[in-house]
Amino acid sequence: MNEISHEQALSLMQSEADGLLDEGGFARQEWANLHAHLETCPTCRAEDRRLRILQRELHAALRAGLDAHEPPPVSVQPVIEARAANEINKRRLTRTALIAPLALLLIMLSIWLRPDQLAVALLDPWGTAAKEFYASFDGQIVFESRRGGDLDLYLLQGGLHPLNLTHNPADDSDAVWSPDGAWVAFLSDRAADPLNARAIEPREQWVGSTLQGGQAVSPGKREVFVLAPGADPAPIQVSAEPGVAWLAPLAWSADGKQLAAGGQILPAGQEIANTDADSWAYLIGLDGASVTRLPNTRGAGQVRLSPTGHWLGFLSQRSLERNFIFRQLDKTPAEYSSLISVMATNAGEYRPGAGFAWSPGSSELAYIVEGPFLNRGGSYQPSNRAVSQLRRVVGFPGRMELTPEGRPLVELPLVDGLRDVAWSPDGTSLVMLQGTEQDPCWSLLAGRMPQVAGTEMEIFPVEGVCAEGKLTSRPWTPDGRWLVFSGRWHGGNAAIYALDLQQAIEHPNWAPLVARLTDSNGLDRLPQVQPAFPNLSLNPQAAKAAAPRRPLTADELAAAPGQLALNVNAGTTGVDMLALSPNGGQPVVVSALAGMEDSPVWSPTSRQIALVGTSFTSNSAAGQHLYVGAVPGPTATRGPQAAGGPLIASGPPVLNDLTPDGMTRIFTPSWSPDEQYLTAVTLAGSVSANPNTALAIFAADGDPYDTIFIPAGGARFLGPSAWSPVNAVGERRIAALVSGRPFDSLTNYNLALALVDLSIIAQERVVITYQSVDGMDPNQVRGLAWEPDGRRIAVLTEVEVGGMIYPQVAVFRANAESDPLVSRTQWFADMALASSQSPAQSFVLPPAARSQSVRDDGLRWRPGSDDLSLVVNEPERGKVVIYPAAGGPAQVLLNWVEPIYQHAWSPEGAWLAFSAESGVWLVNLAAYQQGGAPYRLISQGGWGLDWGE
Amino acid sequence: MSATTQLFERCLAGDPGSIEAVFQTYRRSVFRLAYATLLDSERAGRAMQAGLLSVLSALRPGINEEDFQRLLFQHVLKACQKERSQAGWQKTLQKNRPKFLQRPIQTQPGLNGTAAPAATPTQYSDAITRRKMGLWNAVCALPEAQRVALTLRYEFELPVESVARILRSSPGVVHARLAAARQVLGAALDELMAPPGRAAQGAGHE
Repeated sequence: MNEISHEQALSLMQSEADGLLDEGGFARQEWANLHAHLETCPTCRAEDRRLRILQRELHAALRAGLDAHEPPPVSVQPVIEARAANEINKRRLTRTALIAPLALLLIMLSIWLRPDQLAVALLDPWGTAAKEFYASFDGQIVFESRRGGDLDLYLLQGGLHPLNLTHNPADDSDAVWSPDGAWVAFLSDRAADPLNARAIEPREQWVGSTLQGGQAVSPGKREVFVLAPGADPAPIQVSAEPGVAWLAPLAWSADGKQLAAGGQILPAGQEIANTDADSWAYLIGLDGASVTRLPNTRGAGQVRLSPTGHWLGFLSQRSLERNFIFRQLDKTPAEYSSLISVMATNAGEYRPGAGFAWSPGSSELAYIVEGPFLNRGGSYQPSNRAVSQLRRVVGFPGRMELTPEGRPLVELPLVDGLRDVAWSPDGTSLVMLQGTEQDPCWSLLAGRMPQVAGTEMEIFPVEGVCAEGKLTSRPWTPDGRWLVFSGRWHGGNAAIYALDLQQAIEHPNWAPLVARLTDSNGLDRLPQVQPAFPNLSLNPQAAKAAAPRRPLTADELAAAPGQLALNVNAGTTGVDMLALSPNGGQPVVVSALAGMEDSPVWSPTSRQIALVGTSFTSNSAAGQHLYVGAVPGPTATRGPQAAGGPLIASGPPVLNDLTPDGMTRIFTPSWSPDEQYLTAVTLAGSVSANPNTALAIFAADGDPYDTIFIPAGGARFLGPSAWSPVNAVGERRIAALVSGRPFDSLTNYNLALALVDLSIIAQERVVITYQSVDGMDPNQVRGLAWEPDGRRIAVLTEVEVGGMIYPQVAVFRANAESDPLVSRTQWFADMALASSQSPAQSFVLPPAARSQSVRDDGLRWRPGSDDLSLVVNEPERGKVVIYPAAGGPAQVLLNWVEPIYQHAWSPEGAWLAFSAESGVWLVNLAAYQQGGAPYRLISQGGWGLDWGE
Repeated sequence: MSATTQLFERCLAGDPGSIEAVFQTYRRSVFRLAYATLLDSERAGRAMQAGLLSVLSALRPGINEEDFQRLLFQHVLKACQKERSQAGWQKTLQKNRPKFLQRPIQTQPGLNGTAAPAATPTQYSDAITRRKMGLWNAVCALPEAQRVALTLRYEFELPVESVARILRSSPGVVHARLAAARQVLGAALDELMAPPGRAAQGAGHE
């Protein structure tokens, strides 16, 4: 037994009151200790007694307090009602659980066990016909399908599980085999801008029963691609023609070196043409370079090539009447009188969506017209408008036999609602589709050509078979036995089927032999059967790589005006600056300091040149210096450097240092129009820690210590600045870009265009007006350019959207009191802001303007035009893109095989110079558009290009 | 199987007579627990009805009387909680309680009721009744958690372990609540048992 304290005793008393202590329990030791203590401690005994009294009183008090209130009566009625409701629900649920599966089963049975379906299942168990099909055809079938969610191309080669050829979230469609069956050409919007997605009405290529009334969704402009299903299925882009929307169907030339297609001219600012846009027939070379719009083909649709490859036919929709027009491909443009128009205007109209087909030998045509037709008396029969007729022209093209009224020689019976027509490979049979636009599936009709002149062709429907969509240009197996189509058999699932048409024609009373080739329901369409022609050894990739361009002639080169200044790497001695004449002559080394030179800028008359040099010698103060010097224009003939030889200095000119004390940083300078002054943004302090920038005004031939520095107040000047090319009396203006306070409250990105008016420089009267530049990032400024006539100023920045970097261009009026914004690109950082400002017209970026980088100092006005140009680069390509300053679609002017450093325009705008790793190149634009090649001026990459007079 | 368990089985089967019997059997005790919790007979009546109805849906086959009572009290306390949250009663009580605790316990007839809104009757004739009701008023002034534990322990005479299970708490916590309640009530009882002159003197100190 242990002695315990009073406090312990009091605690144990509380435990005992709660029954936690007892004489015989687990806590008997504590109980014994407590009671031993109580025996000796009168105080604790009194407390124990007090506690016991309290407990007794508590019992009584609780009873008294609670007795004062009687409980209200309790009702079991809610329980009974709730239970009754539960019972009812249970019964209902049980009934539903029993009836619903039964009903579902009945519905499924009623669908599956339709008599005709049952007959199909009994007569042709699954796979029998398919086995027979694959026994006679060991080629491949390519088709398009939405079974993966988006539209992709699939390859079928036996079995029910096709191979996805394209695996791309873009829509890939309208596949067509090359004549040798090695390549597949198709249309894809994978190169389009996905954020320009919008719904469009389906055009002719989607005339099919399942898309009626619906909309096809096209993310954007489709380009032509090819892939080799048997080898490397990586698609190769063939077309990259800006401003043209390609139309299906595509058609290969017989030699496989060209593709024919319709192309709609895109309206300004759109990636998708509307149905009213002009369309033309195009020939697209596999090299991707030669895209030819065929003259006199305006309004062309359904462009097709004859099997022999000499003729191109299309449906002309130029006038209210639709005619087929054919032209010979091997004729020169001067011989277009050879165009043949087939179809007299008074003999019905071509049915929209219906096809025309050459016979395999290209000597006959079959096509479909619709009413109203002329009756014998020469008047129209309005009642037969819905009636259509299959027509056949024989003797194409030399001895086309037409009736005196222009009707074809052979007219076949009138049939309601003919839709499409295709010749069998042996030329003895025709298949057609028939139905109304409301029909879910069109009937398939077949007929054999009459062997005896004057007898009518007998046409009969193939029982149980219907087709959805069009017949493709290659629906037959090479042996002509099977017709492959997307459709249904006895109303079953929509899929790709093969019909033994030979048997169907020879034995029209027999049940047709139909093989189901795919297992989807309504997702597959436009199957194309691989032809089995001799190998043509087509190589689109090599063709693209070897696309020949003719070199510029000596006369063309001699016409290159002015002189070009640029920086080149001089090896271990740093960077030199050259001036050279694009039309020949030795380069003049303007500056060969033992350091870095940059940013050469010709004076307006090109008699002087300004450059920024970084000196590493003890001859001048450390830091960057602005030099000005007179440069004699080179006059000698072209030197060895044109062939990639070493650059030889012929003596540098005398350079005048305008900043003898040196500066931390001098950005690209800009000349005043009178050549008296230069301006540049300068940085006095540390680049990173103290962005203490100022706009400096240098006197070109004055005392360097008279330089005026204009601070930006609480803001900071960004790199580019530009002196207005127009220097009216009492008006000297400089455009610069500023950021930071007090512009934080103006825009999201606090970038502002500062127009600095220097009324009289000597008196240092400076007025700065600011124009906020909404939505452009001051940290990504890439250029500032003043239009040659001084009316407008363009600003270039870049923005990252979805992992891609897009150039942003905005054009401002230089003298506008209000509403100065003229136009800008779509890709502003603040999309909501961009869309909310409607007065300015937007640029439209073509896919080619997608870029991995936008070059610094890369914005130029093209002389003599209303266009801006800039360089955008992809990882392994470079492009010079042209933007109309007033807004509208941008176009890729130059698509180069490597990233481009910089570009410059010749003074009159006819030549373009650009620098890349491979050298400095010249492009005569007129010659380039006619197949002329760029000319390599030097084989050493340069930068800081400026083209003077 | 005991008769009570059989009764519960019949309730489970939906027998109205058995449900009626269970309701009548436990009606009084349920109401007392609800009243001790809410201190409002109208709300206590509703909580009683709700608790009795809800416990039926929680019945499981083979349940014995002790488990049923524990289950029932848990449901009643849950119903009380619902009642209180609907009325904001707890907020009012918490707001008033500190003021009340600063005052001495009123022992004179007709002077109580500062924090026990419906603790009636307050008319009593002799010293014993006065003491009982005085102590009841002190119980009403306790925090709800202590009051509920006290009611289960002294009104229903449940062991601390059972109280803890009903309150979904631990015996230690319940013991602490009971000890704290007894300390307050002990002081109140001392006042109530003091001679009348001394009580009047205490009242005059306010």
